[in-house]
Order: sequence, then structure tokens, then C-alpha cells
Amino acid sequence: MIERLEFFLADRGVYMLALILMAVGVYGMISCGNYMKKLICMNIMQVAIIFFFLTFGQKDQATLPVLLEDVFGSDSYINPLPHALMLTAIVVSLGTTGVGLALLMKIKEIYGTIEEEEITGKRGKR
Amino acid sequence: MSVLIAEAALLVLLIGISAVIIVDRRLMSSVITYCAFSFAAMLLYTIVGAADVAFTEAVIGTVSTVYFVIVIKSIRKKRGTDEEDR
Amino acid sequence: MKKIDKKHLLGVLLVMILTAGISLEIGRVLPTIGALDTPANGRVSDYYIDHAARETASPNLVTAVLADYRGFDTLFETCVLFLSGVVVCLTLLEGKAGKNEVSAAAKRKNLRQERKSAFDLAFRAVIPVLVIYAVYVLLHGEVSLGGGFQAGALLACAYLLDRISPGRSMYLPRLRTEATLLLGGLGTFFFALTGVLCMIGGGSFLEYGALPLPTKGEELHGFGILMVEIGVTVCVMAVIIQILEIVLERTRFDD
Repeated sequence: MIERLEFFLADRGVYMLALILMAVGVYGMISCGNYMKKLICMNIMQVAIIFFFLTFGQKDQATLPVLLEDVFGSDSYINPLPHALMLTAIVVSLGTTGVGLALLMKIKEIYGTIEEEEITGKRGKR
Repeated sequence: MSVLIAEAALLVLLIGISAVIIVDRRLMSSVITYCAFSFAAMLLYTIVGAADVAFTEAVIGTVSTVYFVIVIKSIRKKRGTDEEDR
Repeated sequence: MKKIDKKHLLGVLLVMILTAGISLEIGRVLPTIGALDTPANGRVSDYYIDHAARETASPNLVTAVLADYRGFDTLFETCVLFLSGVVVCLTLLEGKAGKNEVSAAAKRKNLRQERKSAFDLAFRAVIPVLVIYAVYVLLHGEVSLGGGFQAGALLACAYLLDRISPGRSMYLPRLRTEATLLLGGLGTFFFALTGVLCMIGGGSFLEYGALPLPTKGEELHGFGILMVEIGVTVCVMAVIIQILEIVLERTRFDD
């Protein structure tokens, strides 16, 4: 039973769960009225995407991408290429969060609120 | 227990935490839950085998949570008014 | 259930069920996890795994790929990070008058609360250890897990711990906006300078084998990676500290 579960997970299950996580993140970004929650859901979506990339580098019975002394061959090390790209992505997402928060503080200063409905109401009146 | 079952379990946990973040009404509670989300994501990256990525996510998740908390503090009107925002 | 939003709860459940249904079909196209012949595990990454120890002097494959084989990517990522720091600076810093007003009021308030807290002894022990650990992670990024990004973020964490602890002045030097902008620019500049040094030595941009240094062979690659990682560390640390300082300057902690 466990083997069939593992086969299902390896074929489709893990991708399914990663896609569900990303869809929940996108739903949160669209439907939350508060701008700060939108930023948090952006980070949720980003975690799902990074995990999705990292699953492409997995290999069965392989070890971390640090070279050991007596283990050779490219079948025994995990693919290091997605890791390098995702490291960059995580650090850039920190910069994006910082810029988003700066814009959020400016919006609060100008409009007085960070609720989407109140802001669109105010813009309509302007 | 195999790696795949651990991945699936952690992903289910992550989905649960993200549902809590979206559904909760209070903003400060969502931000603290985001810290837990970042921690669970770090565990997930370690299990997949990306140890460098997990290290980076641990540190940057902490810094990101601190940013959010400081910005919440700076946009609150007054102490004691718990803004029930969505 | 006063503290949760029922509308969002139904929406989240609906999205989960819909995506689960759709992704059962999508999973048919994607490769099996853990297989050795997926399209991502092609010849390029096999080349990196097989030749990284010989060509670059770094057993950490991720650092070798990040700082040597894909050095351009890292250079422009550092530029993007620095740019985000500059954008935060432009958005939130108003002018000299506004800045001084906020910080003078905050200074008066902080002076009133200058008292010893229970955290002081703990921070005195933790902050130097964090700084030393960050330098260790930077220098050992080639041999074991670590690298420039992690070291820069750890240094910024040490500064953050020192900055937000209440009621006393800082142990680490306080960095203002000009200093962090300068540091961020210097980090990116140092990275690009390494590339230009390679060109001066006779190779192409960021070709570490042509660095004009007295060692030869793969030690040059080790030096090149170290210089590049130092540039990345300084830039990451400066940008994180800059965003922190700018956001903290507009915050009044009145509790």
C-alpha cells in the first residue's frame, strides 16, 4: 500500500500539492482586501514555485550537492543547477517585499488606509 | 519513511498554514503565521535536498517577517485599536 | 467564528478542490520525481557535477555553479537587489526637514527609556557570535554549505538584533542611509571589478582563469569565487540594513 502511495506521489501527487499551494497563494492575492495580506500571499506563491523547481533536481539515492571524497559519478549528486537559480530568486524576493512594503507605507500616508475597498471608494470620489 | 511521503506531509502542512493566513481576520496574527510558514518551507527544502536554499530561506524568512511586523507597527493608528481588517 | 472570514474559507476550499482536479491531468505530462533521466538532469548539470572539482576549486557544487559557471546571473541579481534598496530609499525618504523631525522626536523618546533590559546580557553574547558565524559561512562557502547570500543576510540579522533591542545604544556601528547606499554600491562594484580584472589579465569578463594573481590553475578560480562572494555579501547586507533603517525611521514605538 505504501509503495502504491509512493508511486502516486512521485508521478503526480507532489506536483498536485505544489499546484494547490500556488493556487491558494494566487487566490489570496486576488481576494484579500488588505494590501499587506496580498504581499504575504505573494510570498506564499513564491515558496510553491521554488519548491516546484527544486523537485526537478531530485534524484533517487543521491546525496547533497557537496562533493564527497569517495563518491563519484553524476548519478549520486543532486542536480545543483535549480538550487543556484532558486537562491537568486529567494534573495530577489526579499528586495521585492521591501519595495512592496515601501509602497504600502506611502499608500497609507496618502490615502490613510490600506484596505482595497476604501481606497477604490476614495479614488472614485476624487 | 521515504522522502516523498515526508514531502507530501510537509506540503499538506504548508497548505494548511497558508489557508490560516488567508482566512484570519487579524493582520498581526497573519504575519506571525507567515513566520511559521517560512519555517515549514525551510524544512521542506531541506528534505528535498536543497540545503543551501534552506539556509537562505531560514535567514531571509526571518528578516522578511521582521519587516512585516515593523511596517504593521508603523501604520497602526493608535495603541489598543485592533484593526479588524480583512 | 468571529475571527475568521467565512467568505475566504469557502473560497480557499473551492480553489483547493478545483486545482486538485485540474492538476491530476497536468501531472501526466510532468516527469516522475526522482528519476535520473528527466530533462532537467541533462548533459549540462552532469558536466557541472563531473568537472567542478577540477576546474573550480570548490566542492560545494551550488557555489561553483552560482559564482563561477553562472556568474553573470549573480552579478545582475546583485544589481537588482541594490536597485531595490535605492527604490526604497527614493520612495520613503522625503527631504532633510522631514527626516530630522521624526528622528529628533524618536531620540527624545528613546532617551527617556534608557534602561537595562534582561536581553542585554543575552545580546552581548549572541551578536559577536553571529558576526563570526557569518564570516565563517562566507569563507567556507566553497567547501561546505554557505556562500555570499547567507553570510550577508546573517550579518544583517546581527545588525537587526542589535538595532531593535530596546532601551540602549548600539554595540555595532550604526549605519545611516548614505553609508548603506555606499556599501551596497561598493559590493556591486567589487563584483564587477573582479570581472574587469579578468579582462585586464587577458581573458573575457568574469573568466577567473585570467586573473592577474601570482597563483595558477584552479586556485585562481578559488580566489575569483571568494572575491565575488565578498562583493555579494557586502551588497546583501547593505540592502537589508538600508530597508530596515528606512522603515524603522518612520515607526514610532509607543508601547
